[in-house]
Amino acid sequence: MPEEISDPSSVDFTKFIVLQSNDHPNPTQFKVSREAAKMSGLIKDMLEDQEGDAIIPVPNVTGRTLRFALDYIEHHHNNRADAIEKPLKGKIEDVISEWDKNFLYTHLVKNHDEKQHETLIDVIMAANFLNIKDLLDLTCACVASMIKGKTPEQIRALFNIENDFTPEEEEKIKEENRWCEES
Amino acid sequence: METSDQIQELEWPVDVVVNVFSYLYPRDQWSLRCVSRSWRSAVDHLQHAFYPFAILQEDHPTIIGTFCFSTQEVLFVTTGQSLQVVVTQGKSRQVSLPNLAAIGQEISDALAHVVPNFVEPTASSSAAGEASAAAETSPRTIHRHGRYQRVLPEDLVEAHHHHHEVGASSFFFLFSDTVIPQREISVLKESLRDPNNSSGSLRIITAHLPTPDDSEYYRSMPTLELPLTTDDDAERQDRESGEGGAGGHERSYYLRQLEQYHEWESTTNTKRKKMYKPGTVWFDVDDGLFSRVVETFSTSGALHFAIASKNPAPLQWWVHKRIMTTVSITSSTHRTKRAFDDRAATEVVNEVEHYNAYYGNGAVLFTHSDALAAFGQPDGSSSGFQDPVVRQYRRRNEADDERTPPSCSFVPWRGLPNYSSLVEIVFPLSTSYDSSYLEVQTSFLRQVSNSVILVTNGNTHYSNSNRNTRTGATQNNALPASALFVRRYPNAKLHLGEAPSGEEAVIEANIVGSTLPSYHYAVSSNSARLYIADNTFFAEAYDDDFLLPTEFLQKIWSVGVPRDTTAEDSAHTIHGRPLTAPWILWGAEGTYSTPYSTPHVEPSESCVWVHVFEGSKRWCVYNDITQQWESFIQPEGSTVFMGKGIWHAVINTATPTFAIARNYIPKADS
Repeated sequence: MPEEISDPSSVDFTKFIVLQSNDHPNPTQFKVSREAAKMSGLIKDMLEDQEGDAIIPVPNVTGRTLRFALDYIEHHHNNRADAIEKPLKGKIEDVISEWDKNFLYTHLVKNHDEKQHETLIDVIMAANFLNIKDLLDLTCACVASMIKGKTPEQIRALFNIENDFTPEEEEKIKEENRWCEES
Repeated sequence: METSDQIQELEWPVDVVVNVFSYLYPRDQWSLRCVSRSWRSAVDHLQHAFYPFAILQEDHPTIIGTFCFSTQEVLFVTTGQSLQVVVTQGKSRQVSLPNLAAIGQEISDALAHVVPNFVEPTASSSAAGEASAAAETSPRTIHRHGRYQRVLPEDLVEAHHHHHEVGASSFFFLFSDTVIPQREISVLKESLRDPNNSSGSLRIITAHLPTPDDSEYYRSMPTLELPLTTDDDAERQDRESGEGGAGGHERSYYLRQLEQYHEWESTTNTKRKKMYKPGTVWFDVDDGLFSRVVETFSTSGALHFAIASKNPAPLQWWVHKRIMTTVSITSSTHRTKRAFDDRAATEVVNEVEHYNAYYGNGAVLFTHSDALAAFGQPDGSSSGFQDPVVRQYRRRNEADDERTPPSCSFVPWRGLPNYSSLVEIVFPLSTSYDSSYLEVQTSFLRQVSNSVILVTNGNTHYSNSNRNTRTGATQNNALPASALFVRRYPNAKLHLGEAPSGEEAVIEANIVGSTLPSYHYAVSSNSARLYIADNTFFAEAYDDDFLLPTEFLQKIWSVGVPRDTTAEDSAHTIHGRPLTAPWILWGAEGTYSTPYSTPHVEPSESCVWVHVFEGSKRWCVYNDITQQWESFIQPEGSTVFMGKGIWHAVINTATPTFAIARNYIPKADS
């Protein structure tokens, strides 16, 4: 698990960096090895750009979410996950490792109940922000797996997305996609 | 931790939605598209993402091809001995390919430069994968199955074998809107493995391309370091094109065009989406021409359009003013079942109007890719357009005459092989005709036509009872358009186009036998060469049922035409006739309207729409920047827009060819 620290001054910055969440007023700080942190494209670029002490504040990401992202990074930086086939065959559970499955369906999708996916969405946004491609792929594939076979209405209900089409637009889209249902 | 309300306000980033999308099958992708506006635009975004790269030939510092993809996946097949591949995205990188075995790895590396985290997949699959295009290039031979045509593994194999016989190095690429099924790749691999090739080092590489990051991506699209012409060359071009006052240096002219374009784009309300950055260069392996993307847009998820200018002078690729554009409506995996969308078409027409207003002029071919594909295979083979005949024409002396057609040109002839003897008649060097010319024309007709043509005592009869139903694109019924026309208006009197002698003849169209399916009709005239060019008929009778089967055509006919004909409007006339009357253009293969058979511009500064209901037309359009003639075929069911002031000539290439044309004065001018 990612190591939460309270005193960054004790960190060996030649080997580690400290990532700081955006919780106010008490941000959480995590100690991460430089090697692992480079799985994040964002942090990799930052580390290449600047030398020296690295306490990197991560805006937009809460400590809770950051912990999951770092959890993934630490597990996978020496042990890259296989790319998930596109398009997804069947359900995602069948194509990912045991660790990834537990990772997804313990907290991100709480108790494997797809309605309780708030954390998953948070992690997606964090992965997107931090540019952690493998994690983004995993989580997006998970969303895809949830979406598969659902109608637009069901997708909206699942993710609480507002239908901002006008009735005319919706009619037009339906018309455009009619063949899809016929075939 | 989060409440539902908070999630509802959450904005899904485009690349997240696109990433989700990429794991779904087409059917699910569509439902994703229907969720909300932002999701829809994200999905559209992926469908229209384009990826550029270029291929160089090693022993020549010449770019063989520059290509863009709208794909998730690219498949390369190479059997060549030495090729140089440049894959560009912002930066360019040259990859030398010294030997066959290294080619695959080099392309992988090159792709990895474009595609972060590029891996050669061990497996891929899809129920719906299919290729949408393919091409093959080589130092000498260029051989292709059509830019927008679906290419099946067999085609690729055929192309490969063809090439193997030639013995040249070759390079194929195949790209697909969805992931190419693994089994198809296996078939390909198996088929392409040449038993006689002991090296056995054929490589097939499949690349999953990522989604580009929107605006950043477009900004970083390739800047190809092509050799530039010298300033002297450019100035000479300016002088010769007579447009020096419009902007001096061609390059700055082009840049200003771009500025205008961006300004226009920022102010226009039309829903549009750019797919390529203007300026991307294409290479047309069919006719060896370079094309540059001037503008591209999508007006609906079901369609996409590429407008590319053609330029036979590859090293002056930025020089464009009057351009020949091609708008192709492509069918891909997701769109094959969508017919031409009328609403989208209306938008396209508006786009072209804007385009014309800003760029002045252009020739645009609207076509269904299906029609084009069918046209390419008139006899079931795909070799219809692979026999180009290039003819040189002498420069004419009357260079100062405003009405003098441009010269110093070559005319790439891409019609059916046995038509090539007609080329000289299409562009006679002299516009004065004599009777011997007429006879030559007639004999050619007899010679080349596969339909029945009888020439007796100056009367021409032709029958379509053996008509080749090659495209099936005729509007929604079994009868060809011209037959419908005759049946509908059995007593119509139509004007024969001005005969070479200057006289105008009236002919009558009659139905000889009206029982399906043995229907045929005959038209007689007092001229040996039958070509009807009539714009009086529709001035009186204007039949929506027959002539305007789609909203698209209605739109075309109404563009630029005032609703109420006022005195002022009727001042815009062509040959004394109101612009509002469409022309019926009806003739046999090899015929054309005189005097408009020779290179001409539309009269009265007008533009013209030409829709071919039946048959096909060959167009030759003069690019006054490159000073070259460019040729294309207008297949059945397609529409050509010809901008004002563009020199062009048209000939019918099928018997019969039945078309409707309408001239109008562009709004920008009136």
